[in-house]
Amino acid sequence: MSRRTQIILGIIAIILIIALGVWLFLRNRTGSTAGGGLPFFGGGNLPSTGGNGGSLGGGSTPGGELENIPTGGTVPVTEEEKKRLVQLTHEPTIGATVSPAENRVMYFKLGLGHLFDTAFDGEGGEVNLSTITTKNIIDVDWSTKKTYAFVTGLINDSVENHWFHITSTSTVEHGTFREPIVSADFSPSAEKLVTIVRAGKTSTVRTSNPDGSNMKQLIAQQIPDLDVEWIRQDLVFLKTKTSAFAETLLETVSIPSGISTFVPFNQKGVDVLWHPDGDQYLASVSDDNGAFSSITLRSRTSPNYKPFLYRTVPEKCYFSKKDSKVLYCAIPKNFTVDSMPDIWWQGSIQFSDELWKINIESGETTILLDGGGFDITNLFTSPNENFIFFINKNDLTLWSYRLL
Amino acid sequence: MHTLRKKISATLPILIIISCFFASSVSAQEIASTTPQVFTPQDLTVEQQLIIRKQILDLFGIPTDAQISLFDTIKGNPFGNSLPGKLDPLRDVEIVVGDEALQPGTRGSLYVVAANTNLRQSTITWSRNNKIEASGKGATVFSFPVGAIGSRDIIKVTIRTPEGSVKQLTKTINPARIHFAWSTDSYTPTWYRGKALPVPGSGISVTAFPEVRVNNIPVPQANLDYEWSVNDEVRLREQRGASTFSFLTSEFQRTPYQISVRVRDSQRNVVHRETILIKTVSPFIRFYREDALYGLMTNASIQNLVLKPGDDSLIDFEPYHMPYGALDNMAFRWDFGSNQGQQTGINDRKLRITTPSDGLSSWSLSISYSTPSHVLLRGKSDLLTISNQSL
Repeated sequence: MSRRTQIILGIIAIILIIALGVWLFLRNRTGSTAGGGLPFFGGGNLPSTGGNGGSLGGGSTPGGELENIPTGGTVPVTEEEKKRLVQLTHEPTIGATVSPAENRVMYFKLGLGHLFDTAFDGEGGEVNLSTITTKNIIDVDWSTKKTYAFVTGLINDSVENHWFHITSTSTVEHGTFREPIVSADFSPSAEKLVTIVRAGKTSTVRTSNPDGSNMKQLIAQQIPDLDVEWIRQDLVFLKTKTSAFAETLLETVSIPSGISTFVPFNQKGVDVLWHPDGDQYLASVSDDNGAFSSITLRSRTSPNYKPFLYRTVPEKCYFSKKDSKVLYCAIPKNFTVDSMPDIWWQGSIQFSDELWKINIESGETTILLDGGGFDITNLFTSPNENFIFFINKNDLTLWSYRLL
Repeated sequence: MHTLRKKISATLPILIIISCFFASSVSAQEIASTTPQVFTPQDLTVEQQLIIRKQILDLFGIPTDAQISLFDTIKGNPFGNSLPGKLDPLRDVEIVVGDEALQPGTRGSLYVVAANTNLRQSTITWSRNNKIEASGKGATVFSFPVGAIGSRDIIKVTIRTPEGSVKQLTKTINPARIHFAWSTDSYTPTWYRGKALPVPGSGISVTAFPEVRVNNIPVPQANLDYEWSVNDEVRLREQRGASTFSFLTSEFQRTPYQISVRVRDSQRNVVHRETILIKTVSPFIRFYREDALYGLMTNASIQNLVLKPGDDSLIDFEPYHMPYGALDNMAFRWDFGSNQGQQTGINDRKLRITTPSDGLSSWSLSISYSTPSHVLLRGKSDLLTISNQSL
């Protein structure tokens, strides 16, 4: 080998090393979303790379644009994002959803717990729908037609559960449940409620009308820390409370037979988001040391599952009601694996999220909102999915983002 | 295998000591005897023999599916019993389940074990549902696909010693599964969505939900017999319908707890054992801001707080994972600047903070906790830094 050849090879090697270094540097800048992996198998765009994304281009904003950091956010938005983003509330908000007429957003405000609504883009300001006072609201569930709300408030250290019935645009009825209910959810197909009450170490699961009338016991089990979700007309889902340090027990219970079927999924840190089909679900898993391990798309009826290479928690996602293949997900740029989701629920960590649209069949992904740096919860869309809404956990304000 | 045998032979004295140790440890748990010093393998159940075999193999880093029997591992007479009789060398051969649980839909293993028979030199033939699936000299392990819950596999093993003795054993496999749910008596804030976790000294309650079918008919959980163990020590002897088991964790140990349950149906068609691992954690305290208008802001715990001079703020401190039994007398001692104070019990968790007029720009708040009923349950919160906005 001539000296000239050696020099050329040496230069090529140096260039390759530099290129590798640049690639690694850019790769690390993608944050912690699984090193730029693809969500599910199949094609897709790289997360957090700020490139080749969707309609907004996903490009990083020029540095130093502090005026473009939204209130309660942590990252500037682009001018295009800024045009689409509207802060709907300036006060702590909970239980946001689409109104019964499907043309406005409804929500409760913390403090007095009054119910309001506003247009999808906030135009025209908010309207107070109810002045019924419910202090210290910690949870809200809405019926499928959005005419009933199940509201849980905190009085000293005890929960108090209420029902709200929106009978017209200006009339709201209200009542209080007699027993403390530890978990509740509405039927996906009827104005029915499933609740869990606890006595000692026994949890009793019941179905009833939304106001608690016509109550029927479904099942009672020696598990004191159960959560319930009504996932299909004839099926409810029970889950022990989640921790990164404890195996989660999952089971489904048929209605009205009360026959229980356990889901053989004995893993730690399992939290679940159900697909509207009542079969598929997104599930997070922790490893034996309590570190977030993975999130996967699973099926109740099949042992197969699809790995989801982004790192997020299921409740930061939302399955489209319009297209069964579409999943919207907030993906933290600064995800931490330790003790998740415990520390996020304790409020000990705040995330700075990007918002993505993911096709769960093809794997195609589109970034919707790169900037803002919100810690997104309570994600949902307008019926035709031209708006997406979320509550920023950092300050509990409600936001609207125009997609089309 | 020859090297393996040499390795084991060289360490025979250690093995004998280990075997005696296990024998005496088992005696404390299982055998009510006034002379527990000398035991024969016949004193041990098959499960206990298997545990000894597994622990000896683990000691030498030998895979548990190695084709080596208990006889091979102890190679001799460590228990003081006599060597096999000439007439019935296979009298003590047993067929045992290799894994703790034959999980439906997975591959399971069966072993033949014997204390006094050298199975390595024997020809062993395995058949499943009357079809021979494996055969060979020293083939003490048989691997097979475990069927669904309610299925039934009849496994037969035929052992032929070099001397010509023959024994056939049969095991019927009725796959089962046990699901566990557990809870502890620890406190977490009412609004907290996560699970309460045990700390040293906590009580833990475990409920088993077995899925057992005999002749494809589900056996009700109340009709099954349950035997509960903690770290391989039997705590609740076989009892009908005892699907829930409670125990108290040690205040002094932070080691994980292996809780095992063995479930049997009344006819002993199905015997199934599974284990769950539960670890204790350390309790801790988080601070939250109580807003005068919006109430307790649980969305974010606070590590820093900025106050205007003269302003005050209501702080809520929330303990996580402290046993309820310890909370009534729990003393929470707070330390803020030059001020100290104490609040007792779980009902008073609020502190009103006003920036002191001592000329400093920031102060720290910390809370230490202790209780006379749980002497080791004591600790200190992280610091909450409170800054004066004007400085």
